[in-house]
Parts: sequence; C-alpha cells; structure tokens
Amino acid sequence: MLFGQRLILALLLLCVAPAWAELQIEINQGVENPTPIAVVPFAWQGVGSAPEDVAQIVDSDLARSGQFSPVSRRDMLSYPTRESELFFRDWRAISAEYVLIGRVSVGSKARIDFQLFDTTRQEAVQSGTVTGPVTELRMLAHRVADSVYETLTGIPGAFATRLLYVSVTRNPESNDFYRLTLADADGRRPIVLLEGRDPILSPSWSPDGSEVAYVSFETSRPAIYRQNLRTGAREQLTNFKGLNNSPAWSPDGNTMALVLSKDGNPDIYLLNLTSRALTRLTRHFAIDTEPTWMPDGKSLLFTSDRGGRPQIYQYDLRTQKIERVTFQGPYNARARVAQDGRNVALVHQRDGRYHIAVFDLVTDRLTVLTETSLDESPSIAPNGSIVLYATKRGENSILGAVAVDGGVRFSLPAREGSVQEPAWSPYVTP
Amino acid sequence: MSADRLLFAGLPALLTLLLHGGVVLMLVVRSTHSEQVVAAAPAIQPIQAALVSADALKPKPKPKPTPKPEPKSQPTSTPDPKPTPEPATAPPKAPEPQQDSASSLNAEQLAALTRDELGALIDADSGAMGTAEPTLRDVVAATIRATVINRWTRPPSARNGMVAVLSIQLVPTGEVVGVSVLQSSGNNAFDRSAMNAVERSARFPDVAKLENAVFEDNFRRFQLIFKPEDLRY
Repeated sequence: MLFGQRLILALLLLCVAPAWAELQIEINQGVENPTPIAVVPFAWQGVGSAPEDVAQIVDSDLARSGQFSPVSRRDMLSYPTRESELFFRDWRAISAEYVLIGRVSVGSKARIDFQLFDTTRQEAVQSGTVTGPVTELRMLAHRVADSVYETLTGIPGAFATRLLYVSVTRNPESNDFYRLTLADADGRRPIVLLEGRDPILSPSWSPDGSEVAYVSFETSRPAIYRQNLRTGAREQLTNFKGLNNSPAWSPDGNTMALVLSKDGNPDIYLLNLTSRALTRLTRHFAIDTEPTWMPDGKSLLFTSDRGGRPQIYQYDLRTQKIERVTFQGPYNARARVAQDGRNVALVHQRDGRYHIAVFDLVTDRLTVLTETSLDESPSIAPNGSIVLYATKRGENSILGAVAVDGGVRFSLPAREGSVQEPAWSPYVTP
Repeated sequence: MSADRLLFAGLPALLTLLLHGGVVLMLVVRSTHSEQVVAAAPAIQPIQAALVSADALKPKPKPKPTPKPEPKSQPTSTPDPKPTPEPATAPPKAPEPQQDSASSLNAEQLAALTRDELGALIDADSGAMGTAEPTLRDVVAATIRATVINRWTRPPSARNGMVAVLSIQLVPTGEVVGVSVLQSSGNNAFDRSAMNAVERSARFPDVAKLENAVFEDNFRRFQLIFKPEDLRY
C-alpha cells in the first residue's frame, strides 16, 4: 500500500505545475501617523519682497488636514528651490518623507512652480504650475496644497475653497449685530457680504459656488435671499407668512429646498428657481426642517420630530416615500451629506450633550467625532475629509473642525463675537 | 532519523523510484538556473545524508500542505507559497557538508517520498534540533510583517479590500535591495504608501540569522500583500 500510495503521490507531484511560488506575507493593518513633509520656503522671483509666504500657506494647509506633519523650517539643513540644489540626505537626516520646493513669480499674472520629491525612494513624485490673478496668490498657494494633497493621499484637497459663516456681536445696549462673512477655507481674507442688526441665518452655497442663499430678517420677517458673489446682485426668493428657512440648492442648481410654515407648521418645499413654482414635499403635523440634498439629487434628508424626537428622514423624490434614517439615540438633526453620498455629518445627542457625529448610510454606523458639548451646524468639506461646525467656548461660539475619521481637531482663528452656521463651499473652478 | 531514509530507498518501490527519480533529476537539472532551485538543493541535502528511522516517518502525519508544487523543486526545501511551517524547517541542516552528490542522490529518493513523508522527515530533523513549532522562517516572516505594519501609513483614500502586491528583494543581511509593484491597487497613493512602508523599513535584521538556504528559498525574493482590513471602510 505504501508503494501504491507513494507512486500515486509521486506522479501527482510530478504533474503539478512547476511555477515557483514565492513566500507571501500579508499586511492587513497599518498605523495612523501623519506623514512628515518639508515645505521649503519658495523662491520669490519678483521685485521687492513676496506679498505672501506661499510655502507657509501650503505648510499650514497640510498641517491642518491632520494627515501631514510639516517639518519646521528651523530644522531644515538647506533651502533648495530647484531640483539641482536638493540633496536627499539633508532631508532623510531630518526624517522628512517628502520635500516640496517651488518658485513664485509675478508678472501680469502670478505663477507658482512646484516640485514634490519622495526622499525615501529619492525621486520626483510630482511637478506642477499654477497661475492666476496676482491678487489671488493665497488661493494659488492653496491650489498647490490641493495638488500635493491629492498626489499623496489619493483624494482631492479642499484647501482652495471658501467658507460662509455668520458672526454675531452681542450688544446688551441695543440689538445684536450680525455679519455674513465669506472667507478662505483657512479662515483668512474675510469679506463681509451682509451686515446689520437683523438676524441672518442658514447661509448655503449654490453648487457651482458662484452664489449664496441665506435667511435675513431685514424686512422684519424672515425671507430667503440669493446673492451672486461676483456681481453682488441680490434677490429675494421667498417672503411667505411664517418661517422661511433652511434654503438648500439642489445639485443641479435648478431647485431650492426650503422650509415654510405658511400652511400651518413647518414643512419641506421645493422652489423651482426658473419658474418659481413651489411644490410641497411633506405634510405632517410634526416639524419637518433642515433639508439637505443627496449628491445624486434623487432624494433629500431632513430632520423631523414626527417620531416624537428629532431624527433624520429621507424623502425619495421619485417614489415620494419617506423613510426614517437614524435610530441612534434620542436626537439626530441637521444632516449634511458628504459628496460620496455615504457619510452624513449631523448633530447627535448623547448623555444630554450635543456632539457632531458621522453617520454612515451604508453600514448605519454612527461615530461621534467631537468631545465638546454644544456643537451645532456641521458642514462637510467638499472632499469629505473634514467637518466644520460651531461650538461654544465660554460665552461665544467658535468654529471647530474635525476630521471625518476622527483624526484631528482644530479651531479656526477666533473672530470677534460668536461665529455660527459655517457653510463650506463646493469646489470652485479657478 | 536519517537512517530511515535509506530504509526507504531500499523499499519495494525500486522501479518507480528509478523512473521518477529520473524525471525529477531532469527537472532539477533543467531548473538549476533558476535561483530558487539552486538555493533549494542545499536545503535538501540533509535529508539524504541522514538516516531516518522508519517510525520517524510515520508518526508525524503532518497536515498535508495542500499545494504540492514541490515535485521538481523538491530539492528546494520550501517551495510552498503559503507560510506552511514545515518545509521551512528543512533548511537548518542544509548548510552542512555533503553538498556535492546531494542533488542526484536526492532526486531519486525524493521522488519516492511523499510530501507527507518529507514533512515527517523534516519534522524529525527539526525536532532533533529542538526547533519548536514556529520555525525560524516563520518568526522572521512575522517580524517582517510587524515591522512593515508599523511603518505603513495608509492614505485616506485607502479602503478595506484594496490589494497591492509588492515584490521585495533582500540580501542575506536583511537589507532591502528591491521593491516593485507586482499588482497595483489601482490607487497610486495606496501603492506608494505600501512601497514607502517597505523602503522605510530598509532592513530586516532578523533575516541575517537565517540559514543560507532558508534565506534563499524564502527571503531573497518574496511578496508582501497589502490588504487593509482595519479601516473604517
């Protein structure tokens, strides 16, 4: 028997393909370390001194993402601005995995040339050029950061984007003072779009980033306005009796979802921006509010207390069916959907405290992102990586930001007064 | 233990042995140029040299290593792609004296041996050496794995289920001398993160402790499969 067995086995063995199989080791875990990158001061090829420290802007952008830990300039052993001046050993010595060098020149236009190197493999990873109006040098720097970020992380950067927010200066003597402000995504270069003693609420962006909508009480009643950011043209869209609230542009830009209480209690409506036709979506004695569009434009999420407590519901525009989405905890509200159509940032109540959480529409998993207790108004960066929100610090509220994966938290530069209702712009074509 | 082997050779299978031995020989000779095989030959030697007691063979019914890619590469101690522990053990003996006639002698005898028997032999061998269950090869593979895991920073675009396969080349001191992508994940940032995890490891010092043959068979060139499973999604 042994013999037979062996014979068969031997034959079998001989038949097996001779291909040599190499040892394979499977790596299915990793670490969450920010990548060390050196952003070397860019060469300035213009008259006088550079109006902006472009490298510093890029450096801060990358640092804020939480995915990079920029090397301090003081630790740099050299300051190359061209490939010929770059010695990898200088950078390996200070453990920089990537080095970004560049040159800035200004003529009729501003121009930034940059090159990114991998010090581990000692090779160029990327080189690029951005150009634009001289006055937009900061934005160009953000675009360099976007480009580098995308190369190294595989997802587009969202640094060259902007924010809307409302700031309120409390005034015990008279009315509070409201400002609707537009700023770069890093909080710099704020521009006041509208200010006054009448409340301003719910700023939101058109999908192409060229217009904003908001609620203003300037006529002493809440009304929804749209305002063109380039021309400054402004138009009142609604002025119904009762609430006029929460304008939300559809992804195709043709329709606006909003909340009106003209027919009783607050319900969701759609306003056709061309024909001005108004369609009522929800009719329920409960409060339906805070509509937000799914990126495919086929359904909306909104907050409703029809179940007794505020939860997120989904309205399907085709079937006109409403389904409850969230079941975690007693309170989930103010949803904002990331561009992936999967992550939903919302306000979640736990142990009586209000936190920003991310709800995954695929797995139904809810992850609380913040540890502060009175967080509100989440807004997701167009690349889905960061949630911006308002949170209380002392008497005032400030803007906080947290990575969707929970990795980093930071707050934006404090402004005077309280800052509320941040709205992160979509990608804006340069 | 090695006595056994002679016993075996003497067993009934003589004719078959000869036939198969011939074939194996041919294969061995033919494939000699491939690095693995070369490396392999030495590893096997120990087997022929030593006499294996019959009991040593049977007692240890190793779980069958499923893939029997061994046939021709038999000479190679560890053709197994899977980190099956057993084959690895063989090498320890390898470096020993009887290098020369080894291959031919072996070929015949080996042909007669089933994979099981081989495994048993090897086991017996390692048992003698006091090698515990996990072989040195496995330990080194595990340390390589741990080292790379600790250096692998996944880009935020990484998703569970993405797979990149890298081919890694080492020299006997454990230095990484080559990293290349065998199979891309389709995401450049992901592939780069995997390559950098290896490059940053630079050297796997434990590799230097391995017997030559084990090194040649397993670590001169091997594959790292990057396949995250611990991401949020």
